[in-house]
Amino acid sequence: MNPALSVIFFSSISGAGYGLWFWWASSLLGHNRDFGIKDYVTLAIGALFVIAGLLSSTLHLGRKERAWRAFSQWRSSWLSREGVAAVLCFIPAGLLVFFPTHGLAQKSLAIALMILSMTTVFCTAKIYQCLKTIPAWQHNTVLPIYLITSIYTGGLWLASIFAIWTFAPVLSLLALILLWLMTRYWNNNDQPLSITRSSALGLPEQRTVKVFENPHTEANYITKEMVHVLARKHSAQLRKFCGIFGFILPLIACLLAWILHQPWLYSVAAISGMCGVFTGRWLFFAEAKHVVGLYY
Amino acid sequence: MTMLPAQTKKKLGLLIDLDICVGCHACAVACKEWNVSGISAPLPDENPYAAEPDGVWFNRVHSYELEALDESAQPASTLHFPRSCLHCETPACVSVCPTGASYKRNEDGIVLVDADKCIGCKLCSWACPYGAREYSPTEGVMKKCTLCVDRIYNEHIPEAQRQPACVQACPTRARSFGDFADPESDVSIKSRERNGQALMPELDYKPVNRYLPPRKKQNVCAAPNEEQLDLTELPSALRWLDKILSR
Repeated sequence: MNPALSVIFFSSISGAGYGLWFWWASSLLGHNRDFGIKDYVTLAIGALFVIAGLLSSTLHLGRKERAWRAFSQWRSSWLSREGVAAVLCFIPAGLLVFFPTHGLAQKSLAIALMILSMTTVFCTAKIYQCLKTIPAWQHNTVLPIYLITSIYTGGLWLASIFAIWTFAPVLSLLALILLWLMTRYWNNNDQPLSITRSSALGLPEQRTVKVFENPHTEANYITKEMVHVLARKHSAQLRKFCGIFGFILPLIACLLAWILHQPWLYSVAAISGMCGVFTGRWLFFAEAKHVVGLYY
Repeated sequence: MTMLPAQTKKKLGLLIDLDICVGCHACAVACKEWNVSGISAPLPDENPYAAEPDGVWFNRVHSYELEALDESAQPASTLHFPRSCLHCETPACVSVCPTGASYKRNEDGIVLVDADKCIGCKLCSWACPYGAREYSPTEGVMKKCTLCVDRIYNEHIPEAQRQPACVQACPTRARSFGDFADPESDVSIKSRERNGQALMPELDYKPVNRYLPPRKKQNVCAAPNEEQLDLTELPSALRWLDKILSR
C-alpha cells in the first residue's frame, strides 16, 4: 500500500495523544487530587497531539471542505465511527478543564475520557483490520498493537511530564509486549498471499499465469496506491530500526531514569519511542500487500 | 446510506466470455467515450500528451500468458481479461464509506458513487479487491463503473442501444448484459451452462458479474516426436554417406 504520510502521522501522533489522556484520566481515579499546572499541561499536550493528528488525517482527503460528512455513516463504517469517537473525546476532555477539584464529576468525566480515548484507537485499528483485501491486516495482532502502542507512547509522554518513577517497569513491560507482537505481525506479513491469480481471473483450474501485457503503459491510480513495492527492499533494516528505537532504547532509558532518578531520560525514551512507532506504522502500510496486485 | 440492501429486486451485471475476448480494448475505449460525458462525468486525464499520461478508466483489459497444463493436455495460450466493477451483492467499498456517497441501489443492485457527497478518502478503493474504483485528482472524488445506468434506462436512445457502452462496442460479443436474479435470463442460462465464475469468491463479496472461463481445447496437436533414423533400413550407399557425415 502507498504509505500516505498524513495517515501515518495521524495514527501515531493521535494514538499517543489518546494514550496520554487515557493514563492521565486513570491517574485521577486512583487518588483524590486537585489539578496543578502539570495536569493542565498534560491535558493540553494530549489535545495538541490529537488535534494535530486529526488535522493531518484530513490532508489526504480530496474534498476537505466536506469532511463533516464523514460523521454520518457510523452504523456501517469504522472510519465514520472513528470520526464520531474522536470528536466525542473532546466533550469530557474539555469539561475536565472546569472541574479542577476532585469529586464525583471529575471522576465520571475521567472515566468517560478513558473509554472514549480507547474507543477511538480501537476504531482506527478496525478501519484497517476489516479490509479483507489486505490479508496482513486481518492478523489477530493488529488490534492489540494499535491499542497497546497508544497506551505505550502516551505513557512515555506522561512519565516525561510527571516524572513518575514507578512507571518505568510498566512501560518496560509494554515495550517488551509490543516488540513481541510486532515480530509476530511481521512474520505473518512475510507469508505469501493465500489467494491465487487463477482465482482472481476466474480460472477453475489452478494455472501458471504470467503477465503478457498490462492494460496501461504508465502507472495509474491503482498501481500507485495499491501495488506499492518500495518498502519491501529495505524492510529488514527498517524493522530493526523500529525495534531498537521504538522499544529497546526506550526500555533501557526508562529503567535508567528509574534507577538514576533522571527525569530527562523519560523524554529521551518518549522521542525515541515515537520515531520507532512512526517507522513501524510506515512499514504497516508500505509492506502490506493488496490482492489487486494479483492482476499486475 | 451505506447500509446494504438485504436483497435487490434485480441483479444487473455483465457476463464476460474469456474464451472469445481478443483483448482489443474496444470496451475500455467505448466506456471512456460514453462516460466522459455521462452521469459520472468527467473522466479526466492528466498530462494526456506528456511523458507520463494518467487518467480515470472504468474498464481495464489485461493480457496474460497461460502456461501449458500437462495433466489435461492444455497448450499454452493467451488470456485477455477485461476488469471492471462487479457490482457485488455485499460490496465492502460501500460499507466502509464514511459519508454515504457510495451506495448500492435497491431496485437493480448497481453500485454508484454520489460525487456531491464523496470526500475522496480513498478507503473504498482499498476495500475493493478488483481495483474497480479510481480516484480523480482533478475533482477530488472517487469514480467507478455505473453499468451505464444513464444508457440502460434511457428512453431517448433506441431500445437496442439500451445496454452498457462496453457491451455494445464488443466486436466479438464477449460481453453480455442482463439480470442475474432472473434464472431464465440469457446471462443466467449462459453462466450456468458454461460454469460462470465469480472472481476471488473466498473474499465473500458475492460479485454479480460472471466470467466464462476459456473452453477446453479439444484437438490439441501433440508435440512432434524427435526424429528417428533407422540405419538398418537405409540402402548401403546412404549408410556409407551417414558414416562419412557423422565423423
